[in-house]
Amino acid sequence: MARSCRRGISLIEIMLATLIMAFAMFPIAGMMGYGIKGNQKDFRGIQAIQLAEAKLNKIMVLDFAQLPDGSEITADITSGPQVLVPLGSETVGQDIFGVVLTSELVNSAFDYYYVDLNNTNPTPYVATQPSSWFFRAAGAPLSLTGTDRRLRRLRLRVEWREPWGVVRNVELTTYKADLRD
Amino acid sequence: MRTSRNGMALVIVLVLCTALLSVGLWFISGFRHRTAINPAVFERIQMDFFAQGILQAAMLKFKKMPSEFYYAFRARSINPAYLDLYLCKNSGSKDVPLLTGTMTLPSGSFVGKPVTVTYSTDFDLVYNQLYNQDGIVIRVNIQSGGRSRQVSHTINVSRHRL
Repeated sequence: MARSCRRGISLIEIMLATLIMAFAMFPIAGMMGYGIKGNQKDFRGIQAIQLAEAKLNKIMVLDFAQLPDGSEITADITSGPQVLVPLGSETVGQDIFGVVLTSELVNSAFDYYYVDLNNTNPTPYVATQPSSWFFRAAGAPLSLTGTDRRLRRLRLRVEWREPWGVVRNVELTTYKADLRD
Repeated sequence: MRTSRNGMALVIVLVLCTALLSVGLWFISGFRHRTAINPAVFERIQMDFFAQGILQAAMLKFKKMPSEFYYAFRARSINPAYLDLYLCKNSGSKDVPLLTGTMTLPSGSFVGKPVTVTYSTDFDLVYNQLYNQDGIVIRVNIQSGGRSRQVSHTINVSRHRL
C-alpha cells in the first residue's frame, strides 16, 4: 500500500511539473518572439542607416553642378542617360525603402579681418614683417546670398514601413560647396 | 532510499524552468544592447558627414579669402588670435554655418532624438619656399554625446605673384 501510494504521488508530480513547465514556456516563448521582432526592426534600421550612408557618399563625390535643387526629391540624379545616384524606392533584401533628398542653396556669410596696407601707426606696413601688420575687422562679413550662394545643404532621408504599419525614417545632413572658379 | 527521491521531478522541472528563464533573459538583454548601439552608429555617421560639410564651408571661405588666411597664418606667431579670428573662434561670428559652433541636426524617427554637435575648425599650412605649391590642411573636430571625431582634408594650392 505504501509503495503504490508513493508511485501515485510521483505520477502526479510529473503531471504537475509538465503543467508548470508548459505555463513557464508561454512567457519565455513570448520573450523570444519579442526579441526576434526587435531584431528584425533593428536590422531594418541598420539597413536604412547603411543605405543613407552609401547614397550620401555617392552624392558628395558628385560635381556641384550635378546636384539637383529642390525639396523631397525622389527622381534619380542623372547625367544624360546615365544614372549617377538612384533615389526613390529601393529594395534591400525583403524590405522596401524610400530615399528622399532635399537639396537647397543656403546663404553664407564669412567674417574676416584684413591687413590695413595704408596703416602707419605705430609702424608702416612691411610685407615681410608680420609685426608691422595692422589687422582691422571688416565692416561687414563677406555675404554669399541670392545668386551668389555657393553652399548647398543636403538632407537625405531614408524611410520604411514596419510590418505593423508604423513609418520610420533616418535623416543625414551635410553641406557641399561650389569650389569652381 | 526510494523515499529520498520523492519530489525530485518538481526539483528538476524548477531547475529547467530557471535555466530557460536565464536563456530568455540573456536573449532579451542582448537585444537591449543592440538597440542602444544603433543610435550610436547613426550618431557617428552623422558626425562624419556634418564634419565633411563644415570642411566644404571652410574650403569655400579659403577659396573666397585666401590672402586673409595667409596673413592670419603668418601673423599667428605674433598673436595666435589672428588665426582664431579667421576661423571665427570669437563669439558673435557671422559665419553661417559657423566654422566653430554648435548645431542640432534632425535624425529621424528611428533614432528618436536629434543629434547636437559641437565643432571647431583648424587650418594648417604645409609649405616650402622653394616651390609655389602649398598644402592647406583643414581639420574639423566634432563632439557629440561624449564622442569625438576628427575629419581632416588637405588641399593643394598654388601661389601666383599678382
